[in-house]
Formats: sequence, structure tokens, C-alpha cells
Amino acid sequence: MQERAALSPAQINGDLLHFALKTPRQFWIALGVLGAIVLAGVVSEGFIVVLGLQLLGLTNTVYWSVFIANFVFWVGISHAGVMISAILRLVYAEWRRPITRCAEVLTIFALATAGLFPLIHTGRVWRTIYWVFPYDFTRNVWPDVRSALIWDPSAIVTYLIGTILFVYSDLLPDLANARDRSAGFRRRVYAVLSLGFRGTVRQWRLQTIAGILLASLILPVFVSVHSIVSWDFSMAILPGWHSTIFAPYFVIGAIHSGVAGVVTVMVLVRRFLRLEDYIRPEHFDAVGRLQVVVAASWLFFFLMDFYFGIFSREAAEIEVWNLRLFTPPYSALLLVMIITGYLIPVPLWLFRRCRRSVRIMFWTSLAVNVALWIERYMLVITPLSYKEPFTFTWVTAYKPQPVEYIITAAAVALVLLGLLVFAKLFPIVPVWAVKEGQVLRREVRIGRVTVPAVAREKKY
Amino acid sequence: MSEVLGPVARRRAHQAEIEALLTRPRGLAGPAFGAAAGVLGLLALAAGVNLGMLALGSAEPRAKWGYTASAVAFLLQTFQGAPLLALTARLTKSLWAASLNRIAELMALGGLITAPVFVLLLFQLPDWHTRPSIWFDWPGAPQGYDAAAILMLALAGLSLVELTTRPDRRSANPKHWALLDAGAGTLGAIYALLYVYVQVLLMGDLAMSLVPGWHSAIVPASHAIQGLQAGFASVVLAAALTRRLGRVQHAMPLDAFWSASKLLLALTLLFFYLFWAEFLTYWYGRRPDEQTLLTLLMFGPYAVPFALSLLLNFAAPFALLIWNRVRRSVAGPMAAAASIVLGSLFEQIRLFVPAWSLAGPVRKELEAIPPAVFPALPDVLILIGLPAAAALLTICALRAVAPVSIWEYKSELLLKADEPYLRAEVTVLAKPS
Amino acid sequence: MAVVNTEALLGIFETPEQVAGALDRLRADGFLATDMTVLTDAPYPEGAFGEASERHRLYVWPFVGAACGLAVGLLLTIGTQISYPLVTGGKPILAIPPMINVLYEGTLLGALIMTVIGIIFESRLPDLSAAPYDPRISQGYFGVLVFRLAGRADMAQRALRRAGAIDVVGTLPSG
Repeated sequence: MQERAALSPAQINGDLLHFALKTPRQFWIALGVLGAIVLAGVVSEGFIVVLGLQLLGLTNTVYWSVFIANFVFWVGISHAGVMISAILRLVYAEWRRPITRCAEVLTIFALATAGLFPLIHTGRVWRTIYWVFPYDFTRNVWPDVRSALIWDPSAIVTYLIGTILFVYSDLLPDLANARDRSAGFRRRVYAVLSLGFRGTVRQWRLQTIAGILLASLILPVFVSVHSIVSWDFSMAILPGWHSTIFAPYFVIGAIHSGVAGVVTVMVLVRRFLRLEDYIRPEHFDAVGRLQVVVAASWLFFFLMDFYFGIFSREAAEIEVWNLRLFTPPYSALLLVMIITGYLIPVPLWLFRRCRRSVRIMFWTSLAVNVALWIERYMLVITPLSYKEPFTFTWVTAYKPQPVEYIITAAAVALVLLGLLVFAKLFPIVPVWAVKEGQVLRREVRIGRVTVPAVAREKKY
Repeated sequence: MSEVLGPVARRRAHQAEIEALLTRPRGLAGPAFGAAAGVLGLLALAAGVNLGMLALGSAEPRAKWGYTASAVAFLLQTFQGAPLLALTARLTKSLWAASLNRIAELMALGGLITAPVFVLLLFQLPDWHTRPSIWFDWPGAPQGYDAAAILMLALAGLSLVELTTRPDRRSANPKHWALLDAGAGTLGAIYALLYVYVQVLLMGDLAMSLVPGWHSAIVPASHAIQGLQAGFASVVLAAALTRRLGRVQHAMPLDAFWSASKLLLALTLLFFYLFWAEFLTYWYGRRPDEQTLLTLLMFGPYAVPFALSLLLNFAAPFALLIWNRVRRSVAGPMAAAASIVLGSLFEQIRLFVPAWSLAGPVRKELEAIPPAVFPALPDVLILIGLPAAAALLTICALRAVAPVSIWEYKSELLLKADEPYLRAEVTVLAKPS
Repeated sequence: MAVVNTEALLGIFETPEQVAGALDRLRADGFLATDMTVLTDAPYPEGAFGEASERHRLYVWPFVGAACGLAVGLLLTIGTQISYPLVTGGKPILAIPPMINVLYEGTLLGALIMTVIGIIFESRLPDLSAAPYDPRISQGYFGVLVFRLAGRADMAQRALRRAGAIDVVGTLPSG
């Protein structure tokens, strides 16, 4: 498991700060491409604001569509950061070191992107802000705390602010390092941001404690955020939505997609920043083993939702499951979801050779996120598509429209753009954490074999 | 609540002494063991007699089986949930649990008590035809499939005990170690999957199917996770008692309890989270059938066991374990564990007694909330006697094998050591692939 | 240990063993543990260099923050519900379960914000002192910073050199 190569501090600085301090040509190309896709999304949103929600495929009953599926999906991806970073910090897993920051940064940009969708989906964005913001702007109307839709912003804002602060406090030593390696205006900016961090014993002591303390505080937020998002659905008395299992089901789905998202980012960072010495097959191996457990748990919760949904023999619930299981296109989508979310990746992840293959881990991580996006789509659309006795639709099934596809693609581009810009400005792999790993690295001789080891502070 | 610890180096020096301690007649010596076994045996016998009388009596009222079902569920949560600590520790290669694994696995012997009583309960269920359940009137359901599942779980538990105690009972060569390594992992995974499966069947068939309108999807999952909490707590409690009474403090160091208490804290928070997820969904919608369920299971005739469950499973352990000083002791985690184990008993009472009080013909909805069923003397004897029987099996097993797994203890010594580093001392943990 | 006195010397070392030796020498020469600190580019196990244990009150900050967050949450939730007392969905005006969700988030947000402020404050940041620093520290070298020299600059410099310092930089009072 621990195959760390011995790396000198100077080499670590050079490798991990290189992209932040120098600007290769590929950066501008990537920036241009991603920027263009995001711009297309902005233009589409402009059309929606001017021309209205008629541009979407909404029907009389399907009033929440791809945008809400996107919202739930990106909140799910944002759970990656805390899963990898906080939980692994608390259990002192050494393999977390190179990947915590890219997981945390993915959280920030995924969450910020997710937060756009409740605004976009209402059409008249400014009215949503009036409605949600806890201030009586007009007409003596305050946000209704009893509404699950108001719990959402409280959770998302808490998680976003918490993660930003978490990243910043973890970044302080690396900002100081970047300050020492740069000159001119860049140096002044890093100097201000680093607050004069020097690396004294006190500062490192507090950094170490901060990591554990903030991880402990942000974990309860992590569980609550996607639970509250799930309650947007389960608080409604709609067959297919009104289920007690939604909270843990959504959380485990978020962990599944989030960890897969981190794997995707790990591959991209390793490949494009040439960090093969830092993000190694052992890291993919460790994440892969975690994913087996998470994927199995996700399947379990999906099956519980299914079995206990039809358990009651309520006609409406059975109708929703009929729609999901037997009615195209949802039946095909469900099949794709199970295959790409479980049947293909998990058998591969059971084998060490596959877990250590960067290529296999990359494609399985993408497959998982396709599956989880489909899952969110099915969760949102199918209960709404169920035909109530006294409503009717002009069309037989909801169909996403071009602006919805464009904005969905733009969301992916926005998150990648955010990651790219962050990696350009700050080291995406925590330099000080990697150095700490080198300090604590040991080897132990047991009989004739040399076994990798790690030193830990004695607690008592 | 602090304790003086010897460093690992000192443990190494005392290795022979500790091994002798672990292999001498264990647990309680002579008369004390006899007294404990005698008391537990009498309680077990009383439970058996009362169970027999219940079984030989008339089928109705089925409400008489409520406390028996609670006792079975309690055993499933505590004794049969205990091995999951060892499985989790082995899966994550956690060295701290080495001194707790043996106790955790021995508690799987509780399956020998759970399985027959579970099967007995299956044949007390009312008619299953057209009943809302996961079986959809499959032939042989639920008795056949549920019985097979619980028997397989008991068998998996026994196999796990046999496999993991083998190196302490006879000498081993490299092939044996490879088999143990692969077997413990595979058998552990099978046990975990079976455990979750049995929880689904327990809650689905012995609880939810009996109550008209109760189809909460979270209940089987939350019961399984609460089983983790109760199981881990049982291990901590049993280990703390064994440590004191068996005088094996050197072999069961403080850090095992410290690490276990962090897990207990996390599971305690999870307990409340799962309860909240179910409660809020039912409370919010204001559906009459769901409000009736809330009254039945939480705020009506079973409000006292519900309140006790919440207090003992969440409030008390949380208040204790949130403090690092309390976690870093043996008495603190032991107190929290005792609270959780007792809380688990009340939790099973508030789930199964109302369910069995409604066991009867299939009904569409729950029209009226039945009054509370209070335990009679036979119920109390069964509630105490069945866990006593499981405990008796465990302490008898502790006469045959050491309370701490010697082979795991030696592995821990190989892989963990304290070393000087500049002007301080660090603990070096080897991490073989 | 806030370095407010600009009279300080920084010894640059190549190995952690030399750093531990330097602290031993400085203590032998009468410098207090609170008059020196070690600068590194990564955290080392506590006490590894023989330095003084750092006392802090970081654990107070999350509790204070949580209390503030809870108070703000209570104000918001109770205030908004009382200001607009409309029964929605059959739920009472002051509906406790929904309030708990918002209070929970508010409490944690308060705790998180105050914890980070506490980390920055307890780390004695922003560090506006003119205490000496060398960019070689973040390149893997080690620094031993000696302050409150009180006229013992030569003694400190000798101790640092004897311990193996490759360089000694500092700010000393003029004259």
C-alpha cells in the first residue's frame, strides 16, 4: 500500500508549484474551450430569462426537470471533498495526502455550480433571490422556515462557506511556500493571502489540530446537506418521492458520485500536471476499495427504496415503479444506470490489477457519474410523470430541450474551469501534506522483508 | 479516568508473561465462574421453560410473542452485531482492534440462541396470504426464506469463530496463515451481507408486515446500522468486563477503548440521524396514516420505551463520548456502551411489542391504536433469559480460548513499536500490503 | 509566542538533528524555551526538537461560534415565523422540527467560522513582525529563531554556528 518514493523538499516544491507559478500554453487552450462552453450556457440562460420557461420541456405535471436533476447531481459531487478529506484525515489514512485538496476544491466548485440551478430553474432569477434571502424586501413576506426549500440554502451556504474556509486554512502554508518561490506582484498577492505564515512550531501545531477539528465539524454538515436536498422531495406527499429512506439514500449516492468525481479529477491532475510521482496507482487502489463498499451500499439503498416502495401495494407507488421499470425511455435509462453504476465498475474494482490501472479507474469513474446523473433524473422526473387522476398532459413524456442540454454541458465546463483556474493560482496537491508524509515515512524490517511504515505522534 | 500505560516495548518484554496469562484458565476462576455460569444458566433455563409454555399454548393472542420478538431482535443487534467490529477492523487493517477481535467474534455464538427462537417466531406469524410484504405471496414465504437466512447467519458466525480461534488452538504453518487471511476476509464479508439481509427480513416480516400501513423504507437499513452501534457497544462492554475480571489489562490496552469510543460516537450520531430522517418525513406530510404510526411507535402507548431509547442510545452516550478525556479511558466508553446496550433493548421493545400486538388478519389501515402491552413475568424472564443464554455460551467459550486473540496480539507487536525520534518518541506502524 | 521584539537571529540548518542540537546548546547557554522556536516546511512530531509545548485555546472557539450560530439561527427562525404567522401544511406557527434543521446548520456554520478565525488568531497571524525569515526554509532547510536576545546576540550566534548552522541571519538593534 505505502509505496512512497523518497522525494526531496526542493523536488516537491518544483513539481507541485510548477503549474501555479508558470503558465503553459495548454492552460490557455483549456481555458478557451471551457470558457466557450460556459459562455454558451450563459447565452442559453439569457434566452431563458428573456423568453421564459417555455424554452424548457416542462409539462403540466413535470415542473422540475433536468435543472433540478443537475442541482441534486452537483450537490452530490460536492460530497467528494468531505468524504476523502475529512474522513480520511480523522482515520489518519496516509494515502489521502495528494488528493485532499483537489477533492475539497471540487466540492467548492460543484457546490457553487449546484447553487445556480435553483435560480436558473425558476426563470426569473431575481424573484427567487427575494424569496429565499432572509430579509423582508417587499410585501411583508419572509422566507418560510417550515418549507424544505428554505432548508436548502441554509445547508448549502453553510457547506460552501465551511469548505472555502477549510481549503483556505489548509492552503496557508502552501501560500507561504508560493510566496517564497515567486516575485513581483504575484509575490505580494501570495504574501497577503498567506498572512505571514512562517512555519513556526506553533503554526504547524495549529495546522495539524485545525485539520482534525475542521474535519470533525464539517462531517455533520456533509451528512446534513444532501439529506436536506433529499427532503425537498420526500417532504412532498408524492408517490415515488415520499419515502423515509431518501436522506441516507441520497447521501450514499452523493458519496458514490463524489468519490467517482474525485477519481476523474485525480486522473486529469496526474495526466496534465505530470504528477505521476505523487498520484500513484496505490491511491487509485485505495479509492477503488472504498468505492466497492460505497457502491454496494448505494445498491442496497436503491433496492430498499424499490422493495419498500412496492411493499405497501399502493397503486400510485406501483405505477411509478412500473414507469421506471417497464416504460421506455425510463426502462432503458434504469438499465443503463444499474449497468454503469454497479454491474460494470464493481466487478472490475474487486481486482487489484484493475484498481491500480489509471485508465480503468478513469472510465469506471465516468461510468458511475453517468449512472448517478441518470438516477437523479429518474428520481425527479418519473414521480412527476405519473398521471394523476385529475391532471393531464399535452405530451406523453417529458423531453429535455436544447437549452437544457447546453446548460447541463456548461455546468460540467464551469466546474472544470473552476478547477483549472484554482490549479493555476494555487497548488492543487497540498505541498506541505506531501512533505509531512515524507517526514513520517519509515521502513521496518520484519524477518527478511522490509515493510513500509509510518510514524505517528505518541498520544500518551 | 486516566490510566498508566506501558509502552509497546514493555509489552514485548512481558510477552511470555502475557501469553501465560492469556492461556491459563481464563475469565473467572473456579467458584466465581461456577456462580456466574449457574446464575446465567438458571436464567436461560427459565427463559426456555417460558418459551416452551408459550409455544405449547394457543396461537392467539399473538401479542404474547411481542417481548420474545424483542429479545430475539436484541440478540441480533448485540451478540450477532458484535463480530462486525472485528470484520471492519480487519478490512481496514486497524491494529487497535486486535485486542477486541476475539471477544467480538465469540459473541457470534449468540446465533445459537437467536436462530431457533427466530424460527419459532416465524411459525407464530399470522396468515401471510395477500399481506403487504416483500414476498408477494411466494410459496414458502416468509418462513422458509427467513429460516434459511437466520440459520446461515448462525452458521457463518460459528465458522468465523472456528476459523479465527484455530491458530490459538493448534500450531500453524504458512499455508494455514494464508488460508486464515483469505478465509477471515471472505467469511467476514459473507457474515456482513447475511447480517444486513437478516435485518431486512426481521424488520420486514416480523414488524412492518404486522402493522397496517407501516412501510417505511428506512427501517431495515436503520435497524442494521443500529445493530452496528449495539454490536460495537456490546464488544466494548464485554471487553471492559473481561479486562477487569480476567485481569488481562496488559493485553487489552487503553488505545483499543479510545479508538472504539470514537466509532461509538459516530454511530451514536448516526442513530439520531436515521431516527430523524424517518420522524421528519412522517411528521411533515401530516398524512393521517403516518400520524397514527408516529403515535403508535413514538408518542402514544410506547412513549416511555421510545424516550428511554432516545435517551440511552443517543443523548447519554453523546454527552459522555463527546469529551476526549472520557473517550481516553476504559470506564467512559464502558458507561456509554452499557447505556447503548440498554437503550437497544428498549428500542426493540418499542418496535416489536406494538407490532405483535397488531398481528392478525390483513387490514388496509390502522383504525385505532391499541393500548400498551406490559410485560408479564414470563416476558421478563424471556427478555433477561435469552441474553443470559447467549452470555453463558460466550463465557464458556472463554474457558476454551484466550479472551484476546494471541496470534493477532503477536501480529500487533510485530507491526507496531515505539521508537525515539530526535528528542521525542513516536509510534511506528508497519503497513504491509 | 508572538515575536514582537525585532531583535532576533535565525540560524539556517540542513538536518533536524542539528536543530535539536542547537536548541540543546541554546538552553545550556541560558536561553529559555519560550525564547526560541523552530521554522520548518512541514509539521514534525510534537517535541521532536525538544521545543516547548505550545499552549493554545483553540478548542474554545468552536463552542463560542456554535453558541453564536445557534443564537442567530433562533432569531431568524423564530423571528420570521412570528413576523409572518401563516399556518402552512397544518404545521404550527413555531414548528420545532423544521426549525431544528435550520438551527443545526446555523450552529455548525458559527462553529466553523469561529474555528477558522481561532486558527488564524492562535497562530498569531497575520504576522506583521519584522522577525527574520529565509525562503530557504520552504525549500527544506530548517530555521532556529532566537528572540528576546537582551544583549546575548553573540552568544546566540556562537551557539547556532557550533550546532552546525550554515547561515545566521537576523535583525539586531542598531548601535
